[in-house]
Amino acid sequence: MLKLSFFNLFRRKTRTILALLGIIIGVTAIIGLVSVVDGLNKEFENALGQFQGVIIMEKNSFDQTLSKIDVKFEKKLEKIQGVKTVVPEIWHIPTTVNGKAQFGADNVDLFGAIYVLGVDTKKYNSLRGDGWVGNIIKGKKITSNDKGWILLGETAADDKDLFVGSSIKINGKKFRIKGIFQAGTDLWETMALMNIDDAKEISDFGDEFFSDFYIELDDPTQDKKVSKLINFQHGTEIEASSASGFSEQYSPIMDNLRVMVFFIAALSAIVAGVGIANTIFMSVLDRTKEIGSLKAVGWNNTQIIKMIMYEAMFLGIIGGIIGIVIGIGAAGFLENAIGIGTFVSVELLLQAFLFALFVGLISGIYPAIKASQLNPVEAIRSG
Amino acid sequence: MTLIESKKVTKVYKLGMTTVHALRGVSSQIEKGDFIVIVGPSGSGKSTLMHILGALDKPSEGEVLIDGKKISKLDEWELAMIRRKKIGFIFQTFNLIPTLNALENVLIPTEPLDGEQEDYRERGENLLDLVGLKERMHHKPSELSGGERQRVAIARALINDPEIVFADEPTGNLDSLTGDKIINLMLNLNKEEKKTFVIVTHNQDLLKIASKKFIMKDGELSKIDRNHRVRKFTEKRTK
Ligand SMILES: Nc1ncnc2c1ncn2[C@@H]1O[C@H](COP(=O)(O)OP(=O)(O)O)[C@@H](O)[C@H]1O
Ligand SMILES: [Mg+2]
Repeated sequence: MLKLSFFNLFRRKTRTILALLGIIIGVTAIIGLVSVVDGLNKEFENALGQFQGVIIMEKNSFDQTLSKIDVKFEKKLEKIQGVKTVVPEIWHIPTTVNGKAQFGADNVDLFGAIYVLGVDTKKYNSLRGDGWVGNIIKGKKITSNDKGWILLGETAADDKDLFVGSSIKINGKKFRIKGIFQAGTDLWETMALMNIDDAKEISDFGDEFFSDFYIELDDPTQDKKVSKLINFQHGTEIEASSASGFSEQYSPIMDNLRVMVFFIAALSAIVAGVGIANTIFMSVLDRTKEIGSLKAVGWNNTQIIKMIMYEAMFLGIIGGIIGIVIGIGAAGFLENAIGIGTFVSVELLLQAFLFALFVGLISGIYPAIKASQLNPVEAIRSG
Repeated sequence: MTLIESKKVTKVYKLGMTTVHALRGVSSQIEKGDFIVIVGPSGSGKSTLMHILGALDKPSEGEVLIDGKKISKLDEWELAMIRRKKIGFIFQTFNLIPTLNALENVLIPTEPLDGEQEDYRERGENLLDLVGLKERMHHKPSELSGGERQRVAIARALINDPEIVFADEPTGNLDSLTGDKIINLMLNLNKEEKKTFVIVTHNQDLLKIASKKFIMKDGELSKIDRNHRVRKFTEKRTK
């Protein structure tokens, strides 16, 4: 019966192809869209994976570059239970690099811009984890003696053709490159890490403020608990967020994106479903006589339903497979030709395939029942 | 032994204002081993009767008994089972499935059954051999002549080893030479395999070889008297 159903699909090729197109478009759309969302998600996860501690920012500042915190909190935070190291940081987005404006009418590349992170290098280098910086691939770490030296992210170095030992002018001050690092994500790799005094000099931070503090804990798994404690004690001025808290901040955005994608998928499901139902229904009408004779030779309703459902299932499977192949291609195209990061997971492929199968089966139900209800005598007489 | 019996079967079709009395009280008995031929003008109700006797359709009134069981008491599933096990159908237009080859078409009625596919396959091959199509087993219907297609249909009707085969104008779409071969085939099956046949036809010659002969007229079935009416028919034909 499988074979019979399978070949039935090839009797009206144009119609089958039209029905397949519906599923293929649906599956391709799902893979294309969801892979973009997943790609984004993964990028965030990589970025967040770089630190496991707690970040202290000015209340409601949202971003380190917008935050300003009184230096006196350094001592206060060190006293809190569970806190191991408090690293003061200055985040700054320089206005000029090598004499050129970073942002202007001719340059709006937000993600390509270099930004500065000044840290207390002594404390920073004592951290267990990598901090913001991942692997140093060339050169060395900077220490508190390395005034005028920076550690530069690989993306920025490639972008500006810089090597260990080359120099770069940031806000008019000349720096030399001590090392180049890889962070595992583009988000951090346009960063220039320097001593906090250098950062003070090129920005308008005086001696009273830092941007934020990065806190390493005795036990990294306690990040939420310690954040809560800090917010409880100093919550009027500063705000502590943990790595896990960060991802919770992003997840509503991701969820919204998912809902949107789901909506588009649902639309394509309806279109595809109607297409398949129509195809199969037409082919049932075409085969009235044949179905009648199947009944005459002793097929019962269940078998007729099965035959039609198999046809629907095959449509779903074939459409699903082709859609997956095209979808992977589409995701690759988005990534390579347009530069949108995508991530095609096995899970997504499986979901897309099941979606196709599901749409196929659902839209087969009505024509299958109709076919089984054909009166065999009428069917045989017709035509 | 009575296989199928009809008692005062009527069939009425209502088409808007008009009612068509396709059958007006037909009583008949089909015995094991019969080779029944039914003739009659078109529109007289032959096909309708055949469908009702073959459990494809239900009478408006009256009763059909298959193996003594009233079919009005059976549900769709049981009727399908009777058609599958006890009855074979052969149609004027063959009604084969174009995408399947001859052997696969023959095996179609075994699809709902469990059991060894290999056994059915062997049986199908033997039946195609019996109807003289051993060499053409793997051809699609479109690659076969009309006579060959009807032979495939006969093999299909026999695959589940039914007790009785209904043939509705089996030679209607065939030239007379091919038609004769098909009839001979059925006659042989009747003699050698003891299959029961009920054949509806326009071909009056068949009455000569029938074990029971009937004529259908305006929904009424009457037995043709052995000597008298046959002669009348054949005389008519030779004029
Ligand atoms: N589904 C139907 N609706 C209405 N009338 C029908 C239907 N089927 C058959 N008939 C009528 O019943 C009569 C008998 O038809 P049928 O059994 O096909 O005759 P035959 O096979 O002898 O040519 C005809 O008058 C035909 O028009
Ligand atoms: Mg007829």
